[in-house]
Amino acid sequence: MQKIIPGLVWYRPFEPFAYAFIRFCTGAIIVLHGVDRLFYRGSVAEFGASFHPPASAVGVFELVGGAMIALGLLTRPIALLSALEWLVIAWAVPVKPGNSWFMLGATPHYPSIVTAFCVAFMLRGGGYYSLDRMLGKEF
Amino acid sequence: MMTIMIDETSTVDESRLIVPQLAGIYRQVASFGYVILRVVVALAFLPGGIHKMFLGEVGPTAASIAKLGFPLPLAWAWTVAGLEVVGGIFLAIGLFTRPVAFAFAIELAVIAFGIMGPRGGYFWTSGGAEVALLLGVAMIGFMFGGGGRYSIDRLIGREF
Repeated sequence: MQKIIPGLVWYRPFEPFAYAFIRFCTGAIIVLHGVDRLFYRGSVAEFGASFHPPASAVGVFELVGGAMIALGLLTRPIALLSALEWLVIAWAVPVKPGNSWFMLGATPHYPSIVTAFCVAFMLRGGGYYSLDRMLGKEF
Repeated sequence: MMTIMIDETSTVDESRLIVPQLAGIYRQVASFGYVILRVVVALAFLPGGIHKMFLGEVGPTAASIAKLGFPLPLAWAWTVAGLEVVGGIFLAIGLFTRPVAFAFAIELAVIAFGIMGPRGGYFWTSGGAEVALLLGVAMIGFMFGGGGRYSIDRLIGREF
């Protein structure tokens, strides 16, 4: 593809890393939730009032699953499970009076975005830079 | 070759799949992964942008920008409103993807470290910086990845 400003070709070599970068960072963000659930607050409050999964189980899944998404190991099945988890959260989080669904912050907006990210990883798989690709076998 | 790698789909290989029967589905859907990320992130900004631009949120936005110590807060508030509406549409359709993503990345860095971090700490459940950080790293990805296969940039064959 032609560059509108030819001098900008310097970032071409980074282009193949874009998808892996987004996947890695999203996985890392999920890992932090697992760490928080296992070792700090241990709260599953965002799952809503009626559904109380054990914080340790959710925490282990987020810690291990987030790391697997970050590294691209069994990307598709783990992304599917993560998408389901964040969909439940998006469903359960209430929109406080005076706030809108779309506000950045403690609204269902954010878990919906994470759900969509996980769906994208599920469709795309690990991609070029992933353990799935390195190991030569993948789901 | 590099431009193909961002949405490589020809690399789905039956011999590497644990369930080879899934290869056909994977080939059909794999190229949508990147464009879903781009469109979802872009559309996430439209409601906020429309609020600022048309529904009078620009005043409160200017107030929170003034608190950060920026000069001309009202001008910045309109800039942000314009970026979120026009830039959001451009990013969704993949037009001028890289410069638009760059502008958003800067906006999100300010939001993460200047507004959401001090207000709610890290986690999203308390309105923290995580939200802006995830959107921000996606923007950095789009800066380097460009529009990808399904974008106006690719359609017109020219890009930044």
